[in-house]
Amino acid sequence: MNVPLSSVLPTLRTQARRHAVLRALAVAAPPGIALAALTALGIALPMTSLLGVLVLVTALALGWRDARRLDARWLARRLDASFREFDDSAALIVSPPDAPTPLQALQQARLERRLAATFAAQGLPDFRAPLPRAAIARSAAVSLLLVLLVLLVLAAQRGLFDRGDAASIASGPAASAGAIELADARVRVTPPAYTGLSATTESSADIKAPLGSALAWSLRFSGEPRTAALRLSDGRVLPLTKQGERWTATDTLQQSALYRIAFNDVEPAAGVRAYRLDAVPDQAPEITVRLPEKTLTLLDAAPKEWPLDIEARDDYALGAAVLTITLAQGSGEQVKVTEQTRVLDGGSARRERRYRTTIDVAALGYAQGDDLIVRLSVSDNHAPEPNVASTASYILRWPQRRATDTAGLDGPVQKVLPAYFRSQRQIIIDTEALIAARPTLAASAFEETSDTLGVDQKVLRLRYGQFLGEGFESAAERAPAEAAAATGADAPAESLKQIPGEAEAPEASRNGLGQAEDVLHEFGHAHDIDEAATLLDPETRRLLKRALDEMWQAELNLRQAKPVDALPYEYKALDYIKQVQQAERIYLQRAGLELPQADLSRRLTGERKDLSDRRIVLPTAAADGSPVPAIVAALDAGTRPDLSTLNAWLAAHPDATPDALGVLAAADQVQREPDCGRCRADLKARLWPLLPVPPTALKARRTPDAAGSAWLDAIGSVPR
Amino acid sequence: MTSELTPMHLSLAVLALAAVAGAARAWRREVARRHGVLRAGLSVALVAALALALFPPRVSRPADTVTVLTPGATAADLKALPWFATAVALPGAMAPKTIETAPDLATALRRHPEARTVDVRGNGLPPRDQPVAAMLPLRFMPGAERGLVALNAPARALLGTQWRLDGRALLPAVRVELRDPSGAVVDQVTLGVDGAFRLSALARATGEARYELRAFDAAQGLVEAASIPLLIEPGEGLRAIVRAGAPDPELKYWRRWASDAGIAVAVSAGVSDGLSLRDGDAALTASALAESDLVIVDERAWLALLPAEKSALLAAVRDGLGLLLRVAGPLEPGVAADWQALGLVTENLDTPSTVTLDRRTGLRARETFTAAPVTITATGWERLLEDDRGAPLAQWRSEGRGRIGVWTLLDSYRLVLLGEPARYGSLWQTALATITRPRAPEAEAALPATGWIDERSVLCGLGDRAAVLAPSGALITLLPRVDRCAAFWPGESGWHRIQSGAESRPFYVRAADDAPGLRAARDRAATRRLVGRTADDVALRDVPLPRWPFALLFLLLASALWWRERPR
Repeated sequence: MNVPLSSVLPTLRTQARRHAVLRALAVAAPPGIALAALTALGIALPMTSLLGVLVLVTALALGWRDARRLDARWLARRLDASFREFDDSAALIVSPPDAPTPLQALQQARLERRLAATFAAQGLPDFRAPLPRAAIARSAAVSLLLVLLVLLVLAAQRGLFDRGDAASIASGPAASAGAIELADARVRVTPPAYTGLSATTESSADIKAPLGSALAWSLRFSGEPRTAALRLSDGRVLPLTKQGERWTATDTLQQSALYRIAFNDVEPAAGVRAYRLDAVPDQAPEITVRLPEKTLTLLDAAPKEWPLDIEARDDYALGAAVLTITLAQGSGEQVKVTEQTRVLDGGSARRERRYRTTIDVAALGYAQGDDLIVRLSVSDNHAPEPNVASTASYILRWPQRRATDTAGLDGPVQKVLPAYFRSQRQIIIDTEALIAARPTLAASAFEETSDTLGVDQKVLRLRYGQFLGEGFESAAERAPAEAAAATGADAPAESLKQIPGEAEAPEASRNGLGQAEDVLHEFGHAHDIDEAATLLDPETRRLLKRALDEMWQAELNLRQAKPVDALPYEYKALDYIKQVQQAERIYLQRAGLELPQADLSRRLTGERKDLSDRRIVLPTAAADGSPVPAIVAALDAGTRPDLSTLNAWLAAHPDATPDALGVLAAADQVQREPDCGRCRADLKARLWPLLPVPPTALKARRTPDAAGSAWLDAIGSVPR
Repeated sequence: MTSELTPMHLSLAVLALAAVAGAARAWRREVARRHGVLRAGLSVALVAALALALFPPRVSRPADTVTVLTPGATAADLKALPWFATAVALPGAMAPKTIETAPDLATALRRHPEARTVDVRGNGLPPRDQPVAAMLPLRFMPGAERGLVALNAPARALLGTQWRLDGRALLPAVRVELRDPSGAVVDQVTLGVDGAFRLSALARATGEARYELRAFDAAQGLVEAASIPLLIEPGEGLRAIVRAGAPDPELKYWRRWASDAGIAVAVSAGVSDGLSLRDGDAALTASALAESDLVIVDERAWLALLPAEKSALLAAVRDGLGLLLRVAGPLEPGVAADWQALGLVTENLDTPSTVTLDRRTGLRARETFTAAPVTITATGWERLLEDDRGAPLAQWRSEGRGRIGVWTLLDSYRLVLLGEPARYGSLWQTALATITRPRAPEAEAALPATGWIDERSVLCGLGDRAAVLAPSGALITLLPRVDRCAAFWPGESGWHRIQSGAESRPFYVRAADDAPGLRAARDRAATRRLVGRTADDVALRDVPLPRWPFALLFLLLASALWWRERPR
């Protein structure tokens, strides 16, 4: 080979160097592997990874230090020692001088020749030191020992060496001989499809699931009963069927209940544990209206548009949102109400949506004196019927300047119901006009007008219905009605609404109906209470009822675009109304003030004969039959409370507490373990909010002791 | 130094030999003389450092103080101590492991008999150590106060009252909340400037009730929770006679409340001349007055009273009856003269005045009430009810064995209309309880003060066979001493019952983490009271110097010597 030695020999050195590093790594390998294993198992994590990194770094450092020692001089020494042919002058080849003397050059040439042959025959020498087996073995042993130590410490920590813990881990009271118990419970809960929740498997017998979920129990018992069944607190019994080792049953969760497992058709004793079934009902969506800010918005000038911003939130998913826009046009008796609906889009989010829209008010035909009412109904996706939540009605009102309406004043005698009387006549006139104009109108326009007339008729019917104590439909219809009443006939209007406490309200209404302060007046009537409305004598009531029936028929036909059929009903209604108008008396009742009849013969005479004191009796407060105070008193005294009536009372008062099942479970616990002080305290705490508010008790002061009494007596005798 | 050969002497001898040998060797080794001197010096110094590290010399330092670290002592306290101080940590104190721990102060003092003064750091000594510390001069540097530091709550309340508590809480608490036994929040308030707060709650059922006070910091984190144990008692039935000039809403609502509260009321409200609305027999005869506990008379009804009735009334008052004069309007001259004889100087005003009762009743919303248009100057009369500004609305004084009160608030019934019947009831209850006829006192033994678990408490008023029923059902027999008191060490927290003979009294023991701020404040106050005289003479003690500087010196010298001597 003709490669000069000076280029070949350094490779020996690099080889040896690399090998030195490898040797260091080999020694560090066993602890490194051990630490890596511990890190992978997650044991003593930050420590082991840090140590592993440390070991690696140390090994590299040591290896590098060893490698550095294998420099050119070492190579020269080794070569000199290994090959006599070098004549102890290997340094000349390995680190040749820059300017060799003739002798040196000569020796170099000689060496080259000599050793080229040697190396050709023997090959290049290998100066790599062998792997230090002993060191590796030692390090392996030490690392193994350390790993074992770590595992031992961890096992001791985890208490694997504690004897007898298996007994304490067992849950539940000690089973008496022969009692079968629930060993393992697996319940597959499949929520209804519309909720979008996935089916889960619960491993405890206490279940909390959405209402309507399908439950599939799979239970394993500690013994072998003949039959087993689940007895629910609402009386139902679900028999369990044996399938292999496990007992199964299925049911749909319709309401919250407690249940117990009954074996062999034996009623489970009161001491057996009851499990909970919590049904979480689907709540209706929650709606927050951001715009408009107030329910009644009053305008001064012509509006362009009305922005709406409403947020809705549901627990599972939102459905359609329908905006109902009602426009009440006109005033006095001529109120035309049109209604339209619009579906709003709030995005495609499942649970939270924001509906933003603006209503083009002018396009609807909004003018001064009109009311625009909007209401949003949002439904969720509850199956079979969606829960619908609606906002309040938001009114946009542009108040009309008060114009004196002289329609109702027909001389000094007030006719009782002149305004309404005219409205019915107006409807008849409009219907006849519509029938006459039928050939000229398009079909859709005809239907629309007919429908509008039908709505007018409905409004009129409702206004009359007020006198019979029927409810009103919406504020919009009520407000123009009151405007009509107030402007139409002052005194009767005032007397018609004379409900105590609101004597001043008609004053306010006269100043400007539609003021925000009129909310009490508008919404404060108790229209669904018979006594609060105008009382008519039975004959008049009958007439009015008949009139309403006729009006209802007329409305039906008008809304179906059959004004011809509606006309006779309208005439009949007008007849009845005329009769009612001529009724003799209309009584007005003031609730709460029962003035006795004045004895006119004795009035203003000043006679005090036969007058005597009057008895005023204060009725004693009646207890409302709640068993809760008695139970709380018994819990306090340490005696056994009577919990049998609690179930019935809670069922009768579902709004008393949000967690009725918790109260029942606590009561069940107390019945199971009567001596458990903690259970009694827990039941008492749960019953606390159900207690009725007690009247404040009183305690007298105490007499002072002998010295005090003597002192008081002594002072008492001193004149003031 | 005795003449015996102690191990110390032996070691020192060996070290001296080693020093000499080392010095000689070092001297010989070196070629140059100064190097030799240096080397020899170094080796001698090395051995000297080792000797000093093994047997450090002792110095005299004042050592009569034992610093006792109690819970609440911080690391800063520890750092501030001089190096020769003896520090002992009591249980619960956060101290590093190098500090000696003692189970109580007496043990610490036994271990350090030379201690003359005790220097306490932290929150102060618990009750078990306070008697021991009382025997020695004490110095106390309290730690910072934190959380709930003062609480003033009743131990008993009557059924249906809106009972009130007040207290003080310091940073980091900014808001306190009161929860009823069911866990619902019944009242909450943001702390005032100095941390004071006032809360109230309704007592709904008789028996033992545990309310909870929680303090929160600015980030809504819980700072501290304190239980407020309350024993709610039922009331007593009273009998009252009411004479009103005319029926008014105040009478109506008062009758309703009184009837519900168990007062048998006989009312006579005048309607016209000689006519009245009656319920029961409201005649003011001597026998009727002797049986009733309270008589309420309007100023208009007073005008209609016969002289015989008035004298019978006053005689009955002197015998123990309670009389409440209710002012509903300006007084007639006759009435004013009569009442002046009783001690009230009245003057009619034009208009009624408005008062507020927020602080008095604990209302959270500002509501105004009306006081009668009469100024009453009553010298020597006690205040029964004051408005927020301090003007008296009701006053009383004793007359013989009974008491006479005057009431000028016109529309206290508005509390019922506002939806606060409990506050209305509490207002009238405290007023009437002061005035009614006194009853014989019950043999009511005092409840023991609320203690903490693992603290010794003393229960008094015991019979012969006394035992404590713990919440878990365990019965612990007590051994009463001659003075009928026994010591009790509660092992559980909750409501315990003392059963002595036939009677059974409940008391509450707080858990260890219940109201730590109150406990610290109590210990701090008690320890502060014990701070007393300081010792006159200062005892000195020989304290060995710490070893570590000498050991460090040895290490440095050894490294230096090794560096010098290492084979090159």
